[in-house]
Amino acid sequence: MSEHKTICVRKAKEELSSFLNERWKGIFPIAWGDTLRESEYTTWVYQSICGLTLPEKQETEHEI
Amino acid sequence: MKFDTVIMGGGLAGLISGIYLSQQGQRCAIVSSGQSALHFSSGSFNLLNRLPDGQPVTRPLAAIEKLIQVSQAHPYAKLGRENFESLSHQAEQFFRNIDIPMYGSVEKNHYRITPMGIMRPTWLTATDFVISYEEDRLPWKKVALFNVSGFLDFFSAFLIEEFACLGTTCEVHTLDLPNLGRIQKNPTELRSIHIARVLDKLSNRNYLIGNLKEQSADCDVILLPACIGLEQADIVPYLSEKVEKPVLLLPTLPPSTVGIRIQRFLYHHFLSLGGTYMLGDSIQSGTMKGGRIQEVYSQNHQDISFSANHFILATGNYFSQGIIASKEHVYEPVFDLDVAYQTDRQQWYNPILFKKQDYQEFGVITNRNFQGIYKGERISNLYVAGAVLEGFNPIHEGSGGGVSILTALHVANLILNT
Repeated sequence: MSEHKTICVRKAKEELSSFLNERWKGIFPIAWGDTLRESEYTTWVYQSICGLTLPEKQETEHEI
Repeated sequence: MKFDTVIMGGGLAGLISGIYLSQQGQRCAIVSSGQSALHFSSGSFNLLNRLPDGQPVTRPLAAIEKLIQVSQAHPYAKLGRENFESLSHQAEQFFRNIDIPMYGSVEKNHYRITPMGIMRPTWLTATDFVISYEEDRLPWKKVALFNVSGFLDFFSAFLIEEFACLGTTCEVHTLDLPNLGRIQKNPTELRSIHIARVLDKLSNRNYLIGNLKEQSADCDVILLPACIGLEQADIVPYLSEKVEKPVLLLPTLPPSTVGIRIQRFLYHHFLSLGGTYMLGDSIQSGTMKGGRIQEVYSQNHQDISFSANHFILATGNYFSQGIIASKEHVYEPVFDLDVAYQTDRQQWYNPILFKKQDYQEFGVITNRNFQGIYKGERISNLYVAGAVLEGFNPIHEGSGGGVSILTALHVANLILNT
């Protein structure tokens, strides 16, 4: 039961990272003005304050 | 209105330079729109966590030469190694002695715990907060973790999991605060500062002490979310004493109670030194003559100008609009100073969010003395400090706090020595 909970928590973080990354793909083509301000803030909160990073497996998927 | 120095921007860089100049006898004015990155601080300041190429840094002092070699426009490169070292020590000394003391050293980064329970390197951390000197373990085997019921900005599930990986078990307890009733009806509106206002009250003190004591019998330490100590200095050591067990804080999502406390302390300190702080105002333009700023004009004061011998631009980055990005270009809105940026907007971004984003490096160009440049000409009495500067990536490098503090101290020194 506690093992199941551990996996869920890890998945929750991965899903959050993944969601933020997918959203960014839609935002950056228009990221100037207030949109850029908001992106800067979001990145500060999730990456800098929270320490979130992209899960490794997703990183290799995106590499060109 | 005439001052010795007018400082544009009331965030970390503006306040630090204002305090330092005032300590040396200058009459300073800070003009601030009210925004400051301190409001969403983690409780820590970063000096240097990674080199621009991504290489992790454990010892900033040992790594600084390499940074200076590869990043000539970096604020730390303009400071040079000697100043980087002495200003870091000066900053450490200053922050050890404020009413919310901080520890840490430029010699070696320690680790903070993020709201998601992740260990991250950092330079200075408020002493009320959990830190570790090792990346792979915490100082305790068993902790009592408390959260406030209905508080969504604190992630005990993440903390439990991450702590387990570090070999530390968590016993989780919930604090039910009856006085929260009204705000708690809308949990998405319940923020750390609302809780702090309740927990800081003298009348709730005994309830808190009783609860903490009761539910932490066989634990080494009590950990609380950082939603306490907004109004009250020393409340965490006080609790430790009364509960007879170490009590420490873990950061939450913004707003940051410790960040707001630090900002308030710096603000009052500046005022107590004779400084003038114009809140809710912003400098909109200035007149220039002979390569010098003569006076500046603010939104609220209209025709009444601010004149001074020196000016400091510490207006911050995109968020506080020290730098503005339109569809085609990036500019500095007060003086239209020369800005370093890529003209091809496609170069501003990396499609992968958590990789280095080049737009975060854009900023105001200065010479090695942090003087602003207008159409290629240096402005001899306008200094630039903090996040508005070119040449560094605060998120990728973990250098935001360090750049703000060190460049603020440095330009204050430069002004005093002219």
